[in-house]
Amino acid sequence: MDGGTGGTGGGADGGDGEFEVQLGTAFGLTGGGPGPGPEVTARLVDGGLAAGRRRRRARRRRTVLLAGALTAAVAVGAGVLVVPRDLPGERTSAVELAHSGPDPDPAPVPLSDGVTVLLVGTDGALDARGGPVPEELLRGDLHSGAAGAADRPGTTDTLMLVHLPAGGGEVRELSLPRDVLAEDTDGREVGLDRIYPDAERAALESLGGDGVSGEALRTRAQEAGRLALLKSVERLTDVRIDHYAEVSMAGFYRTAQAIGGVPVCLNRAVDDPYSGVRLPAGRQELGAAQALAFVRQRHGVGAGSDLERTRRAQAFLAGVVEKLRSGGTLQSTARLDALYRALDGSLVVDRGWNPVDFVRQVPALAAGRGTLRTLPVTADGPGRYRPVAGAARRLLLGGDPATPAPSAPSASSVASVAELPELPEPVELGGVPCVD
Amino acid sequence: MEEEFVAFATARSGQLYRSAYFLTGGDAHLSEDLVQDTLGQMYAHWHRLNRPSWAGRIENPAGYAQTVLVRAYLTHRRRRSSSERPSRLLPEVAEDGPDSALRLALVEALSQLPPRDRAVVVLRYWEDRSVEETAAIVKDSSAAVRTRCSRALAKLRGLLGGDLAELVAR
Repeated sequence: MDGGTGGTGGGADGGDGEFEVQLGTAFGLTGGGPGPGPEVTARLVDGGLAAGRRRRRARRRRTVLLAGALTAAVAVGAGVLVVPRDLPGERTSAVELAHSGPDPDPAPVPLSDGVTVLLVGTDGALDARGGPVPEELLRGDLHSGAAGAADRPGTTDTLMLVHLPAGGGEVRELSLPRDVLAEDTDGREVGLDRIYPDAERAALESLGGDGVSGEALRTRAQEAGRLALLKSVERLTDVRIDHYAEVSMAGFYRTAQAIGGVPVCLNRAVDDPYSGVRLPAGRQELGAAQALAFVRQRHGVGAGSDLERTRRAQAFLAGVVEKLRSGGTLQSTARLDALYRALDGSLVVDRGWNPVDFVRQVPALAAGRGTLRTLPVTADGPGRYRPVAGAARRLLLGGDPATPAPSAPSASSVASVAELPELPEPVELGGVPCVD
Repeated sequence: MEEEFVAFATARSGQLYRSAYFLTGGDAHLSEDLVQDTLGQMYAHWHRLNRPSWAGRIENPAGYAQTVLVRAYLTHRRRRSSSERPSRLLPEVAEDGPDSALRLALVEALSQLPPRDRAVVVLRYWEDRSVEETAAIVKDSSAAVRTRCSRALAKLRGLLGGDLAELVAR
C-alpha cells in the first residue's frame, strides 16, 4: 500500500479530527467544479423524465389490473377466484340489508347448490371510491356521452346474474335486459335500469335535506340505489342474490386495460358514430376504449334494441374468460391475486363476500364451460318488456333450460317469446363467439 | 407541474450526479443510471409536494432526492452484490477543473471502501449530514453508522494520508 505508508507519516501529527476536516474540505473542493456538462445534464433530465413516466404508467396499470380481471373474473368467475381476505375495493352492505328486513325473501338456494352473483355495470363516470375517471376516458374517443357528467347517478347499463354451481357444473349467466319492467321500492313499474339511479337520487334529496353532505352523502345514496336494485332484481327473477359486484364505466375501462386485448369476433364490420365503435369483421382483440364502445353500441346492432346489446356484453365476457383462461390467469392464484389487487378502487363488492370460503374453485370456469343467456321477455308495448314467469330461476338455477316453464302465466305470453326475433341466442363459454 | 419538475431536475442533476459518482466509487455509467432512476422516482412522487404535511408532503425535494439516490444505490448494490462490476476503470468525467487531481484521488480511495461504508462517508462528509440523518437514510442505527464511519476513515487515512493534506492545501 504505497499511499498508506506515505499517509501515516503525514497524518501522524494530526488526529482523526483533523483528517475528518481534510476529508470534508476535499469533498467541498471537488464540489466547486463544473457540473456534468449540458449534454450529460440533458440526458439525465430526459432519462429521469422517461423513467418517471414509466413508473407512473406502471402504477396506473397496476391499479387498472384489478378492475379488468374483475369484470371478467368477478363477473364470471367470481367464485373461481381464490381471493385474499383483505381484498381491496369498496364494500357495500346492500346484500346484507336486502335479506335482513321483514320482507319475504326468495328462498335461499342451499349452499351446496352454489352461489348467485349480481353483476352490475353502470355508466357512472366515477370509480368505486368516487374518484374521477381516468383522463383517457374523458379526452379519448370513447363517446361516453352524457356519462361525462360526473355527479349524475349512473344508470345500470348492464345487469347480469351469474350462478356458480358448487358441484362443478357449468357456469350459468343470465343477462337482464335493462328495459324490462321492474317494481321499484314504491311498487311502481319502471325500466330496470331506472331503479338504481332513481333510488340514489331520492336518497340524495332526502339525505341532503337531513344535512348529510359530501362523501357520506354520495356513499349512502349509492347504497340506497344498490339496495333498491338488489331487491328489485330478486323480485323480478325470484332468485336470491348472494353477492353483488358493481363496476362503473371507468372501472370497466380500467378492467379492459388491465386484461389487455380481449378477443371478440364480429360477423360484420361496424362503424357506429354514436358509440365510437369502428371495427372490422372477424376475430380481433379489443383495446380498452374499443371494448367499451363494443359493449355500449346500440345503434346498428340487430334491431337496435337493448336485447341485442346484451349479446355483445356476453360475447365480451366470453372473450374475457377466454383471455384469462388461455393466459393461465384463471388457473393461477398469484395472477388472480394480482388482478384483484389491481382492481382496487374500480369495483364494489358486498361486505359479506368472502370468495375464499365458498369458492374453492369453479372448475367449469377454468375449463371454459358455461352458457350465457338472456332473460326471456314478452313484449308489452313498444320498449316495454315483461319477464317470462319462472324463467329466470329455471334458467339460472337448474332444470333443463330447454323445457318450457311449467307455470307459464299464459299461452299467449309464451307465444310472444317465440315471436321475438331479437331474443339473442345463448353464448357459450370456451371460445370466442361471433356476434353481430 | 412538468415544467416545475424539469426545472428541478435540471437544477439538481449536477449535484445528484456528483453524489452518485462518489457513491459508486467513480462509475460514470452507473451514476447516470442512478440519477435517472432517482429523478424518475421524484417525478412519480412529484404530486406529494402539494400535499398537506400530515399526508406525507415532501418538504425539501432536493434533500429528498439525495436520500432517494443513496437508497437507490444501496438497493442496486444489494441486487447485484454477487456480480459486482469492477469499477477500477475510471472513465473520463466531463469535467476537469483545477481540482481534478484531488477528485481522482478521492474517488480512487473511496472505491476501495465497501459500498455501505462508502455511502456513509459520502453522506457524512460530502453531504454534511449528521450521524442521525445518515443513519435514517441508510436505515441503520447511529452506533452502526459511527462504527462504519471510523472504520472507513481509518482506511481512507491509510490510503490518502498526507496526500490529501497536500492536495487540499494546493
